[in-house]
Amino acid sequence: MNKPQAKLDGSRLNKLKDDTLLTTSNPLPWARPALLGCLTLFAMANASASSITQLKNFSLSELADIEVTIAGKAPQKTSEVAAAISVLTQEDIRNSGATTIPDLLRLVPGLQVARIDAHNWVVSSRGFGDRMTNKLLVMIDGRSIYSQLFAGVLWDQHDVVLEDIERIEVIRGPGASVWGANAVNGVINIITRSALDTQGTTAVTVAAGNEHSYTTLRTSGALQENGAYRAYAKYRNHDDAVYHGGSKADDGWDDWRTGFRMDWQGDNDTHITLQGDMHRGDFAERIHILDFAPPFSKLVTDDVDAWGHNILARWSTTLSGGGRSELQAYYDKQQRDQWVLEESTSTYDINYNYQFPRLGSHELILGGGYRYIDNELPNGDLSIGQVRLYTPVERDDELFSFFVQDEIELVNDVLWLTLGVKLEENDYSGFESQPNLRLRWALSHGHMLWGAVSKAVRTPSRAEHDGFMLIDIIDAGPPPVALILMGNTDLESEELIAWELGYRFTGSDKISFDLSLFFNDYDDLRSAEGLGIMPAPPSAPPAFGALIETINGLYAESYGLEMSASWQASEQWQLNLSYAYLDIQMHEKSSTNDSFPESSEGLSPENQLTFTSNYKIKSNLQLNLTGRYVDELRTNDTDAYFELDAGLEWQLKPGLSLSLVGRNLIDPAHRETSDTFLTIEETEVEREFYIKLDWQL
Amino acid sequence: MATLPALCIAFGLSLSTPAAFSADFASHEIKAVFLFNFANFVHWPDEAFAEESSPFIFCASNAQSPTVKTLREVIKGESLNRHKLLIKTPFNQADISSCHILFLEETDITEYQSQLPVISSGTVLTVSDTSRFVGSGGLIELVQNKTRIQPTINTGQLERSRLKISSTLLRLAKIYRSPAIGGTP
Repeated sequence: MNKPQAKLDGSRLNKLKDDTLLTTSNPLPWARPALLGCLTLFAMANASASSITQLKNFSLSELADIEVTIAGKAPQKTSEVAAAISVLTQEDIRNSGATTIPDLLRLVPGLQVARIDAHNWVVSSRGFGDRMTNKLLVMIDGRSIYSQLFAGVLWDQHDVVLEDIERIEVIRGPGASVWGANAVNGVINIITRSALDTQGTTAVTVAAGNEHSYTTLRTSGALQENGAYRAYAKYRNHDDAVYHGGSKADDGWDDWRTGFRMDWQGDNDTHITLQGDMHRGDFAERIHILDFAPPFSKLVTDDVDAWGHNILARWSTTLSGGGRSELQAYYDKQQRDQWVLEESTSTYDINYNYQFPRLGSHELILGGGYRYIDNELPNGDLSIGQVRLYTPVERDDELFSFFVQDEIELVNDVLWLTLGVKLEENDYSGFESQPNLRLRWALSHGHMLWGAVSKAVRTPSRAEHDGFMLIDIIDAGPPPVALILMGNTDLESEELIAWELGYRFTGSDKISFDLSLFFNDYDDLRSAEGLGIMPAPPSAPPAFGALIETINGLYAESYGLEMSASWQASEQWQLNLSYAYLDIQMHEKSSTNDSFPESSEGLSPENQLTFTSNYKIKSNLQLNLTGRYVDELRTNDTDAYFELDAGLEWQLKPGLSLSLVGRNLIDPAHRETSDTFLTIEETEVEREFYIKLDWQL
Repeated sequence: MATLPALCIAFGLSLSTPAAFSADFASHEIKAVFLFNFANFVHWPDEAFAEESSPFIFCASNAQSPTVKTLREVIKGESLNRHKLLIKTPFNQADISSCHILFLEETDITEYQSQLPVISSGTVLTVSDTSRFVGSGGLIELVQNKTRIQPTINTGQLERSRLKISSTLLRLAKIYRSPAIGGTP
């Protein structure tokens, strides 16, 4: 149907006309030959291409994604970021066939995504993959969904309208100098489209399948002359998964959410956004409840109730001097009620950034923020064995933050140095400083090398600080011994110094390639220490308590690589391949007596391989395939697996498409991981089929 | 060998050149490359070309507009299947149906507005960077939206034309559904 694209081949690289490097007046004449020597080392001493040539090499969607130059601000392309960044576009999302955010993230090179049961997930970057992956920060439109309570993201509580996502940016490695604490091993930014971009669309999406079904209604329109609104409602429903062997589990769930987004665009590139959502869901899970009578543990179904709402406002404008100012404020409330936890958390957050007009070779950004978290964790009912006490029950915490970042163009169009630091003051570990240094070197058109050294910290969670929780009962008696995890108010932050190197090639419209290497040096990682035996509190049944405390007793190194390549084999056929390798070595400090110091080593797969193929059979019919290999998890005896997803999307006419998707086609069911702490009974991920109709009315 | 790149990076650190321009893209550059890309992502029927080797024609009225000047640079040395790419500025109005892509700018709009639905119902892809172009029966609008340039496609008019737009382009574009503007097929 489509004509073959006019050939944009590598020879274009030789057509470069202006050799900026040689024509720029250089105040250090002696430096030029030496620098050229460095460049010829790679036999690519071409210097920068004309912008037209560069533009022509962009794909259509990249073209639509380019930020038009506004005074003082250079366009930001992800290919120019000195970090291990991956971006999932709306097209990637459509092609993936994924129906939940964690499932979408399986596409990101190097991310570990594993399902514990139908709604509990592990999503992790560069290791330490746990239900509470405490070193990965996640945000939806600038609102953090990382729970400071248990240090991690409860993925079942969060969702967005997948069709309204503009892109998902994933940075592997530290992002703490900009985003702050807990952005240790990665940052995920889920960004929804501006209402101005979805204006005039009223659409209904219905997906129905043997495992997962959802229905979304969304509508949008104009608001006065230069504004737009969008509103949505979404309902999801998930069937019970199965245990190993095929018997039906009890972990089904359903939830609904509704929300809106309004955007206005004014003079001076002023942009105002107001958005909000509310949600509620019921999630069943099978958990081990501890009992003081033999056999000390029983498996019951826990009905988790989770609900919340949020509202966010953002205002940005370009000031007369060319600087750019952005102010964002949000309020977020999350509530959750289940056996191991009853939570109510309100977060108030305000943030201001100012980007100075470009001054000489400097691009400077300053920012500051304040967060107030009010949270309540009622104690459990000791008489039924629900031992969870928090001191205090209600707590208000504050977080002050400040950051500064300067990007310095050291050599015109060739070399950039970014220096940045985030300073924070929190109520758990006090003052934290998280600096980084990044260097980006554009070798010649399309080839880029980068390197970075960064420090990042993971601050103690409220549970680690204030908790008193029964985690196991051992039949050592009579009386039995209750293992109790005690908070430690002296706990310090976990620290990382990360060394990273990367190479990226984006100079061809046929092939792109990305490689990142890292060496992570962790210190003060948490360990669990036995403190001794004490008699149980008198209100509880007769038992001894074995107290366990969390201290900063471990250190570790990890190293690994992530690489991805994409190849436009023909106009109709696109192929992607990614591979990630990870090795973690945990060590005990002399002060520790942690019984399982090495457990974190085997929580994440050593090798992961993913390929996708998107083939356009006809201009309105596309076949998408995704295959993934995930290595074994030694800590919880999970076998390596290979799975395949296939989807067929048929664009019946503009605005009406029909998809048939099959996921996890290789095995009837496979296990992906298990819960290490909260003792949820894991289930298996089943083969799944669904049909989806997306209709823009 | 492995330490050489590192040395070079370290060396780069000691350099400090004065300010210069970063690689920015102006809106007319992005528009010109979009126009070029439309030639690849839209299908013209065979009869839009007199012969297999007939040129592919971009028509625009102002040869001096930044977008047209950039387009001239963009298409240099390019071809589309066997068709050479050509820009006609100014073009012969009587010959408007021989244009494959007709690019109209602000100054042209009043002149062509009333004829747009008719021009756009044949094999001419009408494109403009003025707002409300699709509302007047034009096929593709290239208007800056926030900080980006995103095409808006008038799918109602497209159905009345003899062109087919690839779903890749449709997907990233904004869709405009015209309230029945009288276009005669």
